[in-house]
Amino acid sequence: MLTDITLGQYFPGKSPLHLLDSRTKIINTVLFITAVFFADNYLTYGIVTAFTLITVLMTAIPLRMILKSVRPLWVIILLTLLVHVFSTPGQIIFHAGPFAATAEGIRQGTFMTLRLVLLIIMSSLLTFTTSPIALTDGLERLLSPFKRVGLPAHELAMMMTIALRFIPTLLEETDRIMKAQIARGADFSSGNIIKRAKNMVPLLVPLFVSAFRRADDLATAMEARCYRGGENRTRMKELKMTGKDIVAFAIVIVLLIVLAGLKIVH
Amino acid sequence: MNLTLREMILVALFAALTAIGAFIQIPTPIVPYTLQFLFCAYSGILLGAKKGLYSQLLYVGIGLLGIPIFVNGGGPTYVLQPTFGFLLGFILCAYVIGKATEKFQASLSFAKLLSSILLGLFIVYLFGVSYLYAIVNLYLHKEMAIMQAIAVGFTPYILPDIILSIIIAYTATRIIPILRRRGLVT
Repeated sequence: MLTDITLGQYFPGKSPLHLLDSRTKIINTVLFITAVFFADNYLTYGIVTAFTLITVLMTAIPLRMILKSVRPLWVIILLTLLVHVFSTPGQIIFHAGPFAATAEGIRQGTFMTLRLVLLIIMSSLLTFTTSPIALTDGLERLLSPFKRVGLPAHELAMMMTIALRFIPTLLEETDRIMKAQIARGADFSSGNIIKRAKNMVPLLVPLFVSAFRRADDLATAMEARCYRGGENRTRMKELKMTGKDIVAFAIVIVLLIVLAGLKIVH
Repeated sequence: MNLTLREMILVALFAALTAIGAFIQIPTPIVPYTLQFLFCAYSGILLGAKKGLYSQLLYVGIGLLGIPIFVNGGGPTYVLQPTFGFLLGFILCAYVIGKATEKFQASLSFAKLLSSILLGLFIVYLFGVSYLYAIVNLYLHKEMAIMQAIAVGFTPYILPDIILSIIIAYTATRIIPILRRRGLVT
């Protein structure tokens, strides 16, 4: 039932991308997204596409899983393609009903669609190769300079970690409460509105009571262990930048410079 | 942020509950819809305006970071989904419902709760439909009349959502006294 849902899309592995520091991956994803927006002709689109393909192959994640992350946006992708193909003025290639497809439109449509697909693939690679915990850890470290202007970086990362940690737990709990109440004769799937609303009460009361209790227990447990925020806190797994990270930065920055350069030259 | 540890954990747990709401799909004769709005409304009702807002903000933030907790996955490219506006609406909706119910603290009746929830629902649709309209017209450069946006983003969902609002208001009148008796909410 409900518990069949697997949360997160982290795909454990030992590829060069998996071994990178999560901060490196977050920053490089942003840099790559910037680089993609510099692409505007066959050569530059070729470069970013090749770069994406090589990165995907390096991660050793099955292609099927990568395509699955593109699927939810297929409507937008298809619409982007069609709108550009049929609404760009230029040399007409063929007619489809009242619409005319132009050579420029096909070119523009392909570029725009490609850009979108590359963006989706690269941003999903981040969560494919980084565990949620490493991701929130990296985010905390990246945001910590903003603590001075009042951004609670540590608290934010802590809440994200707790939310992620408790999604499966609360999901299982919801499932268990539903089954327990069904066993007692509750009916969640029939009757009129009032009856259904009444049937929701025995599901929601235990769910909220247990959520509040969990919050109390967890707060007590953390305070008993002297938790007092991010100040001077040590961690079990320290994030460490290594030579690999420097190489990754160098590659992406070179890509960014080359694409920006080609954009200026043209 | 000035939250106690317990409050921060509650914010996180309600973000988790909203994610669970997205996973629970209820088939209706018209369109399948989820229980996200239920947990969004409850985060405002049970946690209050500020913490309700934080919990929805956290939910949307985690999804945008790339953890697939939205109905159709997650990731930064989700902002291009025409339905992303509804998620933005949830953030403000939790705040508004929280603010409205905080006012009635002492005497929470079904009618007062229902009117607060419907106000929140209105905000969700306001954001949702305008975002849908904006993304189709500005990003896709496709002509779409505002009436069409309403026909796609509003008409099929409003009836089940109003039913859900009635359910939330009814269950809340039963749940709040129980939680108060146990000293879990103020």
